[in-house]
This record gives sequence, structure tokens and C-alpha cells, in this order.
Amino acid sequence: MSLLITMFPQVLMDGIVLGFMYALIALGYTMVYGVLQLINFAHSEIFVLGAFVGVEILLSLKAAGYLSAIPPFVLLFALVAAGMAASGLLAVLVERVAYRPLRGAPRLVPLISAIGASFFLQDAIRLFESLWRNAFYLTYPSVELFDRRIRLGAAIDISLKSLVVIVSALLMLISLQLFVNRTKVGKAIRAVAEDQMTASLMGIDVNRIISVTFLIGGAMGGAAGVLFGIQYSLINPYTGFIPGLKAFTAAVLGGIGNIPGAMVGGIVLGLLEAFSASYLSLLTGGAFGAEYKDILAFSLLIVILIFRPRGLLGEIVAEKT
Amino acid sequence: MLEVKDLHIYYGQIHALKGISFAVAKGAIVALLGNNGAGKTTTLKAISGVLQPREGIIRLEGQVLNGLPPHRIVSLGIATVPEGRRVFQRLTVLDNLEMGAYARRDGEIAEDMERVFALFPRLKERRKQVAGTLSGGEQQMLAIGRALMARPRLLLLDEPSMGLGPMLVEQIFETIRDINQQGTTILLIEQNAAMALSIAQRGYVLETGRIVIQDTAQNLQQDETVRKLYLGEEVT
Repeated sequence: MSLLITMFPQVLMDGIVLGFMYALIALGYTMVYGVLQLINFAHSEIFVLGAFVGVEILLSLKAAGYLSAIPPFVLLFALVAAGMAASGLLAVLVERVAYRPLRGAPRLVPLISAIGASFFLQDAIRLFESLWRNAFYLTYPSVELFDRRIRLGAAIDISLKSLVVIVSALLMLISLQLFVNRTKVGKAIRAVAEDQMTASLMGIDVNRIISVTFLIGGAMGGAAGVLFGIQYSLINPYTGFIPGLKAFTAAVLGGIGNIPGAMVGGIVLGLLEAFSASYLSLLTGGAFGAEYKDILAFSLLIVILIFRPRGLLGEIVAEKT
Repeated sequence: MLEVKDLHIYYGQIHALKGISFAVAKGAIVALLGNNGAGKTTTLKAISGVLQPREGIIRLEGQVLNGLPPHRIVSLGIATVPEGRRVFQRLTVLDNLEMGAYARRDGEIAEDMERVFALFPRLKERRKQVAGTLSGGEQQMLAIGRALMARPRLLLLDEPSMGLGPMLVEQIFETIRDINQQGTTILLIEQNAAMALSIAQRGYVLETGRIVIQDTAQNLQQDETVRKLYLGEEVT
């Protein structure tokens, strides 16, 4: 029993790190769903592109021998910025090429197109890396400072990179929340999400707002990709699938289309997963190990959705006609 | 100011507008009357750019509007109060008004907001409230205020009296007249023909996609068909 208690703070931290990661990715799904009622299946690859841009920069710097010369936090900022730019632009491009021409088609059609875009991007990244590096399973070079561990109190021992994930994710979530609620373009995103036709009658260029939505959602995904690489090191072109699926689940859990909901859903899912992974075998006397974490986490999710079908923060809004 | 010539609109196979022509003079209030399905809203949607005509021409002060997307038409000076108000339910009153001024780049937006609040003091009281929590009448005020924030030269109003009690309808129509007297040209759609003709100078009656009667508002109020069909009077 005492083990359960002593483990608690550490597991809590792990869950929060994972949760923030999911939250960042979930934003892309939820924002796009909000304006287009489309599940952007290519978002997991948009996320992965961020991870690959990060690893490419790090590997190039390492090969050139500059890696240790750059202050780690400057490096971190540059990596995240580059990942955001690349993924944001890719998301905009995907919308232009794969979704916009199908606007007005039955909803299944862009959905299929999204799945196609997802496969295409996976193999495009694989092809590129195979030609460029002769390998598409890549490892983030370690940055010594980020691997250092910090003691927070007696029970928690956290690596600096986990702290970096939490702080950067938090900053991004707060700025997004401010952007969407306080700026004119942010309000226009909400107006378009609510009623496209009326938004256009207000002088809002709906296509442009949709592009901006993809740009921001994609950029958040790209940042998550870089942070994912720094945190878990190993990436390949198919890495995005599971985190993407879970982040999408988090978005649904929070109430799809709802931005604070995606954040809450991500954290809840991260915590559920971390606690299942660590406590399952302890609580069942070893009968179920950590490999059952997803079963427990997703069973709980199903229970939550039975009682709150619109998600934790989902509001009851009349269906749009 | 606005000139519509031989306008044809189709919804798929359905021929919704079968060649209508009319004009709105600068500074006027013009009413489009007719029953449900006559094509009134379709006409407004064509002017605001939501629907594209298959044939015909729409001109604002000589400039052809055909083919322009709605947001461009707004910046040319046409604002819409859509049918069923369609305020942004999840945005506050202030944010709704700000969205109305979205296309503007000038620095006088704050002044215009004060002007809207002077017209509708209720909106000022509720400016921080989310629009979905307003009453029907307040939402109609907000929809009108929001359209005015675009500083339109021509204001399109689609059924402003819908779902409102008689007192509120009276008040809304008085406000429409005020807005007109401050220099905005108005094209008004109404099922409440009596009310519409009381403030309009000119009226057009639509029936299944065609204009069947057109005259000054005064004459229309005397016209037997109009009185029987649209004013609900017994004509002996």
C-alpha cells in the first residue's frame, strides 16, 4: 500500500507530461472539426512532420559539430519554432489540396480524402528520409542539459525535458486561449465555427479563416511533434498514429470543437493512462500488467462518454442546419 | 443605387427566381413582399453574394456584383440582417458587434458602436453577455446593430418582425425608419406587409419567383389584391 502512495507524485507528473502532449495535438483536431465538422486524419502526420523537422535540425547541427555550442534553450526555441512553421504550413497545404476542392461534398468524401492524405504523408516522409539519410527510424540526439533531473520536493524527480514539455505546452495553450477569445481573427474563427454563411455576411473571408485555423492547429501539432521527439527520442514516419488517435480521443472526451475541452480531455486521458500503466499490476497483484493500460483508460473513457455524450466540456447546442 | 435586372436563380433543378427586375433608389426604403417560398430570401441572398445568379445582373451604383464573394460585397457597402437573426450565439454582444465591423479598416469603429448603443440601449446593458442568452427581441436588435457596424450604404433586412410581439415590431420598425433617415438605403423583406408598407416608399410583390405587382407603397396599400392577399383584409 505504501508503494501506491510514494509512487503517486511521480505518476502524476508522468501523466501530466503525457496529457499536455495529447492536449497540444488534440487542439488541431478540435479546431478543424469546429470550423469544418471534419476529422482531419492527416493531423497525426502533420504532428510527425514537426518531430522530423526537429530531428533533422538536431542531426545536422550534430554532424556539423555545433550542437553543444548553442545554448540549449535557444536551441529548444528554434526547434519548436521551426516545427511549428513546417507543420502549420503543411496543414494549410493539406486543406487547400485535399479538403477545399471537396467542400460541399457529402461528409464522407473529405473524410476519405483525409485518410488518403494521412497515408500519402506517412510514405512521403518515409521516402524522403530513406533517400536523404538512408533510414527512417531516427533518434533525437540527446541534449545533455535536458536529460538532467531535478528534484521537486521529496517524492518527485523530474527530468528537465519533461518540465520543458509542461511549460511550453502551458504557454502555448494560454496564448491560444487568449488569441481565440481576445483578437479579432480569433473571434472570427469562433464566428465561422458557429455559422459560416452569417460570418461571410459580416465581411469575414471564410476561406482565409479556415486557412488560419489549419495554420494554428497544425503549428500546435508541430510543436507537439518537437516536444515528443525531445521527450521520447525515437521517431519514425508512423509514430503519429497512436498519439494522433489518442489525441483525437482526448478531443472527443473534452467535447469536440471546444478548445478548452481539448486541453482538459488531453490532461484527463494522459492521467488515466499514466495511472493505469503504473497501478494496474500493483492493484491486481500482477494479474494485469502495464500493457493493459489502454484497456483500462479507454474503458473509463467509454463510461465517461456514456454519461456525458458531448464530452466533458461539450455544450448542448442545437444542431446546425 | 441598387439595380437588379432579369435575375434567374436555380437551386439544382428548381427554378427559384424567374427573371426578376427591380431597383432601389438612393435613400429609399423599398419593400419586397410575398408569401413563403415566393423567392424573397433568395433575392436577398443573390444580392449579398451567398447565391450566384445563373442569369441577370446585379449592380450597386453601377458596379456589377455578380461573381463577388459575400465578404467583398460587404466591403462595397451592403450589410445584411439575415432571416432568423443568426447572431453568433456563443459570442458576447460586443464581439458580435465587432464581427459586424470585421471588414472595416478605419478608426471610427468605437464611435459607431456608441451609435448602435444609442439606438439600442438594451444592448449596452448586456454588452458582456453571450448572445445566446438574449431574448428574441434583443437578438433582433443585435442583428440590426451588427449589420450597422459595417457602416453600410445599403442595408438588407430579412423578416425583422419574425417571431416578435406587436410592441417590439413597432419599435423595430421605428428604428428602421430612423436608420433610413440617418442616410442608409434599405431593402426590406417582410411577411408583415402592412407594417412594411407603412415605412416604405415603394414595394414589389413576389409570387413563385416573379414580380407580379410593383408600385408606390401608398398605391399598394390601396390595391385590392394586395389588401386581400397580403394585408388580410376583407375587400367588399
